[in-house]
Amino acid sequence: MARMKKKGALSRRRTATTRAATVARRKGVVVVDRAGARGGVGGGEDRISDLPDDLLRLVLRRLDTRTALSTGALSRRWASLCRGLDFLVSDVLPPRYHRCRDHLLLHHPHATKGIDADGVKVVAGRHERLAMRKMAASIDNFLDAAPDEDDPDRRRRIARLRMEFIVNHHSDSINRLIATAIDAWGVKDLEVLAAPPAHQRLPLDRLHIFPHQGICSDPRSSTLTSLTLANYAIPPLQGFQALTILVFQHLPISTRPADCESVFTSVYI
Amino acid sequence: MATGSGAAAAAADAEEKESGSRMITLTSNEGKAFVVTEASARQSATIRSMVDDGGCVDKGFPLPNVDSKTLARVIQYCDEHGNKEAHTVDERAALAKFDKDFIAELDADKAFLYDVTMAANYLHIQGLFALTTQCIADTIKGKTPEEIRTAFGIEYDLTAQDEEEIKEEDTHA
Repeated sequence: MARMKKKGALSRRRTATTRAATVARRKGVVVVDRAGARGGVGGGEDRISDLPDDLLRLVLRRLDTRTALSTGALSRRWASLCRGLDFLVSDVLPPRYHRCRDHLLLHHPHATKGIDADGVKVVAGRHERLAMRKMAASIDNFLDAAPDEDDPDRRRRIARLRMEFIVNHHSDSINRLIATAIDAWGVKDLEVLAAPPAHQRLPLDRLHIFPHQGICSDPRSSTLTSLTLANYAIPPLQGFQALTILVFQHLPISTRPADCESVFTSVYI
Repeated sequence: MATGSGAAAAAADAEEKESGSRMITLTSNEGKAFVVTEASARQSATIRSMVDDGGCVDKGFPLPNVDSKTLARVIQYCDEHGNKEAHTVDERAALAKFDKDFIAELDADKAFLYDVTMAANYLHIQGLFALTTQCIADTIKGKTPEEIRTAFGIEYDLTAQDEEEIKEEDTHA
């Protein structure tokens, strides 16, 4: 884990620290030049970029989503870090929502004496609806502002799309995003998690469903190879010829055997 | 059954008492030895698992990834959290104050802060790692990209094309 310093940086600052560093290096010791960081913030060399990716991602996870994403504008290194980050719906919901949710998940209904469980549900539900309304609006804006998809140079290409949303009545925007991703962007690896609302336990009594016409408009020319759906009813899969990996998570117990069989018949037709 | 588990608990208790007084030697990459209490060393999940696996407690633990200056500072944290009780409100407040002063001092020397963060990560000292990563995150908070670059000394190496891509991602986000 030796960190080598540029020679130039050392010779520019002939300070006591660097002399000590030189002596120590001769003894075969890993030395870190701290001259650049003296006096705290400001100037100096870029030591933070010496930290490994995993560690910097853990730092970014301590920030709110917006701030974490904004670090992508710092340098190439940080831009690549940001792209590797996963953000979940829960990241954008406020702390109060998480307290409500913890309360609902951890406490047995009979143990919540004196606490208005219905009130907690109402508050959590309000946060969820607000978050999903904003998410749906962002998705719609994003899709409406998309570059001209007929122009091959301007066409967006995305290999992998992972998303999570809370199941409620804003599903049209989600379905539209998924259809666009498969039809126009050539997504190969798609993973969609329909998260349960705070007051519901798994498996969900209301699963997310795709519109009747199917996941996208042209499955036959899609390049989708891997599809993972959680809390989804089994969608129509006819025509997805490139599909090799199909994962369903949290299917309800009430799923009919015929629905499962249809997966095997439809994919190979 | 009850007596059996009682005896086991008593044995575990005795072992706990005994292990509490054991001393453990940690050696930095410069070969400098630091002798710490086992309670202090157990703040590190890495060392804790080695001790529990009946590892070489007597021979000590060489830490080839940590230099003496960093190790001394890490041990300062572990001593405070491992050797002191945190049961009463006052005791917890004292620890919180220690953490606050500890991180304020590190924050003034960013390069050292990174070294301690790396060591806390390597040694799996959860509390210390949370403290240092939060400190780095706090430096990012509420700043413009230019201010963050200055704070960390990050060199701007994005091309016009990169910038364009990021802007495009940003406006859609």
